[in-house]
Amino acid sequence: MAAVSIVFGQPISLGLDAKEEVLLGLTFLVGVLTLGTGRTTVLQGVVHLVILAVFLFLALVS
Amino acid sequence: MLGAALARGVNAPFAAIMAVALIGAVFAAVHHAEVVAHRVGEPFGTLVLAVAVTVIEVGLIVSIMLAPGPSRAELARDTVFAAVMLICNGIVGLCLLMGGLRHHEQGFQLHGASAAFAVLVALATLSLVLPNFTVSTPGPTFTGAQLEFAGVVSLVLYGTFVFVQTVRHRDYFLPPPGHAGEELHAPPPTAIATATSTMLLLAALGVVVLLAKALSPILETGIVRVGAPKSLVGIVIAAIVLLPEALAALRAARANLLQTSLNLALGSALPASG
Repeated sequence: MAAVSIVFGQPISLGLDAKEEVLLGLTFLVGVLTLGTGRTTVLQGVVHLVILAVFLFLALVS
Repeated sequence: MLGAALARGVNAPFAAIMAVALIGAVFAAVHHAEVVAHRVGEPFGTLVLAVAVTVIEVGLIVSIMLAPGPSRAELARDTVFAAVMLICNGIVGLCLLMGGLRHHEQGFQLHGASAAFAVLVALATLSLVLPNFTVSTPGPTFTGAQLEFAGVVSLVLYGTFVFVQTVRHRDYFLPPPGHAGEELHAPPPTAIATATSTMLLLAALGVVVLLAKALSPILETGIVRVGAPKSLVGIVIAAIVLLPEALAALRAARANLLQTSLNLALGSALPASG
């Protein structure tokens, strides 16, 4: 993507806004906890799905 | 998308056919990538899938970005962010939920999953968060030099990951012993079938990009008309591109092959953000 932006002289805007940054950070934090154990159960799955639901909801209703 | 097409009135049936064809082409591409993947074996197989997905995604973004009309500088960012969120939360969450319901507790290879995740976190932070805090240009952008540097660094990170996954520590990314499903023991396809699939894969990728180019203006007008934020375009693109991989990952989770699920999920997130 970076190469395309440079070659075609298209401006490219990369930074997320504050709300999205928080969600990204939260995702990574929970992801580390999920993967850190090596064993997973239904609970971690539900936590991830809830974060996804928040993301989709906030994408529509910002 | 259908609603968007209807909003335009005249082109509705045409656009609907194109939308169906687009989704069909995405599925065809991923199916043929799977055939090729089966031939070359894990973990190279996931790599083939990931590359196919990336080509589709970059093709979509570039074709929309280069289209005439208002600037769409945010599109790449929105798509990558949506892809990361859909994968890390949607696909991983669903896989864990389905697998957990069926098999209670599932194991996977800690080394492989956390290695992939570490690379993903670094890539996403570099490309999505850091631009907000660089001071050379106001706003969420990099300067030219910074952009080049970020591009090179991303390539280095992803290159290292691929090297580790396929050459140096292959065993980290294989399912734990005793978890192999019957799928792994199916006879690999013949050389002719593989060659045909490779050709069809390339054809399907081309069709996807062309169809997306034709459909994107309709999609955008539709979203503007409904009054939804423009970042929805990115989410729709990411969802279309990731749909078949999500299905493949879910199948693997149900078969108690969580490792394959995680490989698929994180493997397709990485090149997308790179």
